Amino acid sequence: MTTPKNQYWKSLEHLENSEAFQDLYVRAFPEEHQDASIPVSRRDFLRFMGASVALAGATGCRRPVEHIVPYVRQPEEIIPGVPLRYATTITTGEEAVGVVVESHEGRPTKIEGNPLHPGSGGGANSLHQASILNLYDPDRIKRSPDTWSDFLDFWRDSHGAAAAAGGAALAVISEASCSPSLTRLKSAFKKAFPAARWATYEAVSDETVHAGVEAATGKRQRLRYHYDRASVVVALDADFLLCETDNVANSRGFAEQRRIRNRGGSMNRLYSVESAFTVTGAMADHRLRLRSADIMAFAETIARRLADHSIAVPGLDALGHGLTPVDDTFVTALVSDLVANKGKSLLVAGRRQPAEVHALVYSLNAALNNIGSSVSCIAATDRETPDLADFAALVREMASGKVNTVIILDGNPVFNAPADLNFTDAMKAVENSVHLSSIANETTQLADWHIRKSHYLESWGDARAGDGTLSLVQPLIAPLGESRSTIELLYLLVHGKEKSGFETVRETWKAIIRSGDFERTWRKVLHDGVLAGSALPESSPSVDLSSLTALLKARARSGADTSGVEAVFLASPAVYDGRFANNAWLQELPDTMTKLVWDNAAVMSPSTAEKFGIDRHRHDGLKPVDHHMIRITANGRSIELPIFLLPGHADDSISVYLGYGRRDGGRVANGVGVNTYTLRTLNAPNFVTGVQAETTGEMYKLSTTQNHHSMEGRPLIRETSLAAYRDGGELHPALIEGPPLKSLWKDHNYSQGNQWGMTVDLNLCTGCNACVIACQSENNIPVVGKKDAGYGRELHWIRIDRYFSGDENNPQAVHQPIPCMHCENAPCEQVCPVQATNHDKSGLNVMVYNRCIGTRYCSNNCPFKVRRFNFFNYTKATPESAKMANNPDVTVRSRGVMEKCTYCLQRINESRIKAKLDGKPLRDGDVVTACEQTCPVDAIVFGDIADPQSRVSVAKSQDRNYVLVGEINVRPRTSYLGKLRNPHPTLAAATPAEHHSDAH
Amino acid sequence: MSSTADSTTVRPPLISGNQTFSTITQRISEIVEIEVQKTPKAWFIAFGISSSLAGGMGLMIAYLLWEGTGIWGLNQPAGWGWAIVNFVFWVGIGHAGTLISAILFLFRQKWRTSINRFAEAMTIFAVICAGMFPGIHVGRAWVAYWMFPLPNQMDIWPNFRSPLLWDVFAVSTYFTVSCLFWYVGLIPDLATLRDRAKSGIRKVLLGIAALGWRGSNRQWSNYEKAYLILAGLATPLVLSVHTVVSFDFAVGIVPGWHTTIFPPYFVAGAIFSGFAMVMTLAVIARWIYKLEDFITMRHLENMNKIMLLTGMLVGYAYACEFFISWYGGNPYEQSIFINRATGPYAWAYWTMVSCNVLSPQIFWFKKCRTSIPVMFVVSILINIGMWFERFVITVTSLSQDYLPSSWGYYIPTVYDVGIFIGSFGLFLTLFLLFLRFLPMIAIAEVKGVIPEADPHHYDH
Repeated sequence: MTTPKNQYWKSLEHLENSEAFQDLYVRAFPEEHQDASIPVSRRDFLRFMGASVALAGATGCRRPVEHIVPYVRQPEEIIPGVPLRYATTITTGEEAVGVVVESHEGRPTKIEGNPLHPGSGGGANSLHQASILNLYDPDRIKRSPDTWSDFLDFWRDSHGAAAAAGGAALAVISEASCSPSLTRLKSAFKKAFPAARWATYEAVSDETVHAGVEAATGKRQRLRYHYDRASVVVALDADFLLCETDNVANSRGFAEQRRIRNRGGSMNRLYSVESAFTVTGAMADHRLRLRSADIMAFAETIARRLADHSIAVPGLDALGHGLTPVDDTFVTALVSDLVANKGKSLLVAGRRQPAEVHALVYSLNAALNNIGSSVSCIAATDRETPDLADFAALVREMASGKVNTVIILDGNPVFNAPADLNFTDAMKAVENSVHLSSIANETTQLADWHIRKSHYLESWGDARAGDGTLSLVQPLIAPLGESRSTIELLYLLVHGKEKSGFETVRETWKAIIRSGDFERTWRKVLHDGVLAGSALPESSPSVDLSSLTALLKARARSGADTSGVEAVFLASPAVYDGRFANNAWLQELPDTMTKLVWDNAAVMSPSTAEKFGIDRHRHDGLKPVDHHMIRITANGRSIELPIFLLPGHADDSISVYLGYGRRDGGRVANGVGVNTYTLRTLNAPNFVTGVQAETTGEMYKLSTTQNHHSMEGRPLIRETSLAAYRDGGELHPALIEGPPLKSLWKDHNYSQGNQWGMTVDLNLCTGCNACVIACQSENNIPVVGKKDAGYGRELHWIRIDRYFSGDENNPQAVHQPIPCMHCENAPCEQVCPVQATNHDKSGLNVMVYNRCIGTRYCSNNCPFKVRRFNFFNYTKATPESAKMANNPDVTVRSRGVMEKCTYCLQRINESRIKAKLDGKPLRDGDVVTACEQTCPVDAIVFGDIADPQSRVSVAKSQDRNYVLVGEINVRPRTSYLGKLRNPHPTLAAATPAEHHSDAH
Repeated sequence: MSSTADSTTVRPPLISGNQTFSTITQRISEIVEIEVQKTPKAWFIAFGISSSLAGGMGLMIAYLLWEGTGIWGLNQPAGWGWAIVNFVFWVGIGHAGTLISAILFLFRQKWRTSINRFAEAMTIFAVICAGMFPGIHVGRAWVAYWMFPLPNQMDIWPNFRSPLLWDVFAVSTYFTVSCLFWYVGLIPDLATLRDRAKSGIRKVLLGIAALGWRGSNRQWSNYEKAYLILAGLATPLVLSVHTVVSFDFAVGIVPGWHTTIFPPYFVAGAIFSGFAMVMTLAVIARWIYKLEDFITMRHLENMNKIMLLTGMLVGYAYACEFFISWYGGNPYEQSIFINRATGPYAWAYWTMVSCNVLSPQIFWFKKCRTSIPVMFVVSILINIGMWFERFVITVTSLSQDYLPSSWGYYIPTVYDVGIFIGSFGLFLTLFLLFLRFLPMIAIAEVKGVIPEADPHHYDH
C-alpha cells in the first residue's frame, strides 16, 4: 500500500506509512485485502483433494497420517467414481447427531443420518442435510492475510503473563457443547487460569429446561423424553418434532407410536398448546391456540384439574389459579386422557418457556408416574450449558474495563446477545478480543483477531448424544483454507502451544476407553460413529419440593403483567439462530407453515391483524399482494417487518424468527429479512408481552411457494379418525369416480425386472422439510433466489404441500410431500415433441436433459406440477467452491431444460451395478432414495412393487393406500397412505368431518 | 336480398366509379410505381413507427435468447404465457386470407376479388409472426430445429404423438401453400407491372418474378387450373391448421383444455379474428389510398355479416363449454370454469365475452353494418377479444389445475408486452412494404368482375 502524493492522508502514521501501520491497516480493514474473486483455484483444489485423500486414509482405520501427499499412487481404498462413507457427528449446541458422510475422491458431498447413533437413528433434519453446503461456503474459505502465525506470536507473549496473573482480566465466551474433549480442556483452562472468567452463551438454548429440572429435582440433570413409550403427548409451546433439541430422535420415537399397519392398529394422541403454528401443532390431534405467556397458567390449570382427580401434583400450593377463561372441553378431555394413561403419558414444554413451566411440567410428569417411563433423567456429564445471567455479568465486567482479553469461541454475540446488554460497547471496551468463527461475522468485525473456525467435516472432535452415547467427530477433508477447531484453539489458549485436534481428542478418549485394546476400540468408534454401550444410566429423580416451591413462589411474587400483545422469538427451522443464514439452500427452503422463502415476517393470526387495520382476506386471492410493514415496539426498542397472516396462530401473539437481517453474515445472508434480536432483552429473551404494534404504511414483497391453501374439497390428502378407521370407515374426501379407464396408447410392458414405486405415509409425515434438502443435496438442485421463488420457479424436486382445513380461525393443517409420481401412463411423455422424457422398463419416467428443448409442455400436462424448469441459468451464480458440493453422479442441468425427481436413478444404478458385481439380485432396501433415507419418521418407502414381500408392496397393500388424481388414468407409482387423527371422543364432534374451503 | 350472390344485372356492380380496364390498371399500379419522394407521408410515418417496434422486438428477442425465458412472466404452473397466446392469436388472424381466397373462390363469391390479395398477404405476414413465437418460446431456442424430423446419425426422431409436432407440420404446410397461392395469384399482376416498368432493374426483377407471363390463352388456361387446384388444396388447410393448433390444448389433460369442442371452436374463432383483422386493415388502406371504388361498402358489409355469424359461433362455444363442464360432472372441469368467470382472471374472461360476443351484435343493424367508424371500432374490439380468448384458455387453465398447492397467478413482464407489441410492428412493417411494392388489389381478377368483362357487354 502506498499513499500517492496527491492523496489526503488520515494521520501522520498514514503519511509515514510504516510497516507497523500497514499491518494495522490490513487488520483493521481486512475486506480490502481479501481476494474474493478467486475462492479456490484449481491448484488449491487439487491440493485439498490430495490432503483429503491422505486424511481419508487416516480416517479409514489406517495410519493416522496428517501429511499432505500428492495423488501420485492410488490409495488402496479409493476407486475413482466409487464413493466412500465415513461416520462423524454434527453438534449444534448441546445436540449431537451422528451422520454418515459420502465422499467422492476425498470430497464430501452428502450427509446421511447414522442408523447406529441414538440422535439420528438414520434420519437427519434439513439443517444437518444442508450443513454440507457450509463446508464449501466461499465466504468461509476465502483467502485472507495469514493471521494465525501472528496470533501464535501474540498468544505466546500474552500466555505467560496471563498464567502468571491466574487469568485475571482474561475471559472466554463459549457456545454450548456436549464434547468430552472440550469439557476436559475447559477444566484444564480453569486450572491454568483460576481467576479467568468463562461464560457460555447461546441465543437459542435449553437453559430454561435445565433450570426448571434443577429446581424440580434439586440436581443438575438432563431430561430424556421417550416419545416411543407415550400414548398421550401434551406439547406446551413445544415444537419437539422440528425445533427442539434432539428433534430427529423425538420424531422417530413419536412415529413409533403413530405407525399404523392395519385397521386394528393403535396410535398415540397428541395435544398441542402453542402460540405459533408449528409442524407439531399440525400433527396434533387437538390443538389449542394460546399465547406463549399463557402457557404457565394453562399448566397450572392442568395441575388443578389433576388435583380434582385426586392426583397429587407436587408444588400445587404454590400455583396460581390457572387460565381463565379456558376451553373447558379441551382441558377436560386432556386431563381425562392423562388420568387414564398414567405412566404412559408425556408432557413436554418448549425451550421458549421459562424455568417455572419446566419445573411444573416435571412435577406434573412426576404426579402422572411418567418419570421413569416416558421421561427420565441422565447426568449432565460433559455438557457446557449456557447461563444467560452469568453471561450478562461477564458483559458488564467487560464494559467496566475489568476484562483485558476476551476470547469468543464461535458464536456471534454482537449479533445475537440480548439487545439491552450492549455487547458491542462491552466488546469495544476490551483491549484484546479474539474471535473464533467460521465466517467473518458481525462479532468478527469488532474483534482484534479472527481465527477461522474449521467446519466439522474438517476437524476432530467428540460429542455426547441425548442419551449420553459417545461419538467422534472425524474430518473428511483437510481444512479448506487456514482454520482451527475450537478444540485446537482452546488447547493453544491453555498450554500456549499448538497441538492437533486429533491428538487432543485421542488423549481424551484414552481416558474413556480404558479397557481392552485402545486402537481397536478407537477404530471401531471411527467406523461405527458411536461407542457402543456408552449411554449414561437413566435415573428418575423425585421432586424436590422445597426448591420447586421456592421457584414457583418466586414467580407468583413477581406478579408480572403478561397481558397485551406478545412477541415471540423463535429459532428459525431454516437458519436456526442465524448460523445457517449464509446457506442458500436453507434460505430458499419454504417455511413449514407459511411457505415463506428468503425472509422472516411478523406472523400473526388474521384476527390479530384486523386489530392493526389489515383486512383478514387481504392475501386470500391467487394474485400476490404486497404485505404491510408493522413496527413492533417493546421496552423502547422497535423492529419493523412485514406482516404475514397465518390462520391458526394464537391471537394477540406475533411470532418472529430469529437469525435474519444479517449485516455481516456472508454474501447469501446479508440483507435477507429483518434482525429481530434487536427487540430481545435480558429479561424477556424468548417472548415479551405488552408490545405496541402499528403498521408503518410501508409495503413489502414477500415470496411464498404456495399461494392457495385449501384443497377445494379434492381428495388429495385423505384422512379419517382412528376410531372410524378401526370400525371400517373410509377415508375422506372420497375419490372422484370417472368413466372406465382406457388409454389411447399401448401400455408399457412392466412385466420384467424391478418395478420401482414409492409410498408416503401421510399419517407419519410431519412436514419437516428434511427430504427437500436431502433431495437438493443429492441431486445438485440449484437455488433460484427470492424473486423467482415467488414466481413459483423454485426447482425442488420434492416439495411439501401444506393445506388448511376446517375453522378459519382455528384450522387444522396437513402436509403432503410431492415428488414425481412416475405415472405408468405418464401424460408428460406423450406431449414432448422431441421425446426428451420417456419411460424405462422399470417404470421410471426418465428425463433426457440433452434432448430437452424446453417447450414446457410436459410441465403444463403434469397434473402434479412436479416438473421444474430452468428459466435461467441458475447454476451460473453457484460459487466455484460450492460446486464441490455437487454429486458427481448427477448431471448439472443447463438453462432451458426441464428437470424433475428421478427416484434417485443414480442410486438405483449404483445398487444395480453392485448387485451385478456381487452376482446377487437386488434385495428390498438395497436402493434407498435420498428423501427416504433422511426421513426421521420413515414416512417414505421406496422399493420394488413387483416383489410382493417388499416394504413398499406391503405398504401399498394397506387399505389406506391411494393415488392422486387416479381417475384420469395416469396410474402414478407414488402413492399415499391416508392420514389418521386420533381425537378424544368428547372432542371428536368438534373436529371437522369434511374439508372446507373457507381457509385460503 | 342476399348481398353475397352475384347477379350483375340486378345488383349494383362490385366495382364502382365507372372503372375501365385501363383505369383499374392505372389506379392500382400507380400506387406501387410512384417515386420515392411521392410516397404518401402517412406511409413513411407508419413505416417508421412499425419498423421501430419490430426493431425493438428484435432487441428484446436477443436479450431473451441471451438470458432465458425467465425474463417473461412465466411461472410454475403457467409454463405457457403470452408467447403461446400470441402464437395462437396470429395463426388465427392468418386464417381469413386463405378463407377469403380459396373458399370464397371455390364458392364463386366474386366480391372477394377486391380484398383477397391483401387478405392473403395478411395471412402470410400473420403466419410469419405466429411462427416466430414457438421458436423463441422454447428454453433452448438454438436446438428448436429438433422438432423437425431431420435424419441424423443417432436415429432420433421427434415424438409423433405430440401435438406440438403436429403443429409444426400444420403451420409449415399452411405457410407454404399460402405463399404459393399468393404468388400464383400475383403472376399476371407482376407481368402487368413489368410491362409498365420504366427502369431497367425494375424490368429485370419483375420479369423474373413474373415467370415469363405473356397473357396467352394457354397461360391463362393453365393459370386458372393451377389456381383452382391450389384453392382446392388450401381449403382443407383453413380447417386443419387451427384444428391442429387446438389439439395443443385439447390433447393435454389440463382441465379447461381437455375438451372435444376445441377444433370447431378454434376454427370459428380463427375466421372471426381473421376477418376482424382484414376489416381493420381494409378500412385503413381504403382510406389512405382512396380505394372506395374497389373496396366498396358491399365488401365491408359482407365481412361484417361473417363476423356477426362467427361471433355468435364462438359465443355458442363459450356457453357450450360451461354446459358440458356442468353436465360432464368432472369437478376439476367445473372448478376451472367457475374460476374463469369468477376467479382471479374474471376480468380477462369478461373482456373476452364482451368483445367477442356482445360487440358484434351491433351488426344486426344495417346502419351500423355500413358505418365505417362502427365497423372499425368493432373490428378492433374483436381483435382484442380474440387475444383474450387465447389468454383465457392458455393461462387460466394452467393457473388452477389439479393440485391447488401449485396454483399461481400469471403476471406478464415488460418483455411479454414488448415482444407482443413488437410482433405488430413486424406485421405492419411487412404489410406496409407489401402495400408499397406489390399491387394490393388483384388487378387481373378485378377486371374480371367489372361489366366490361362480360363478352357481351358491348352488345347492348
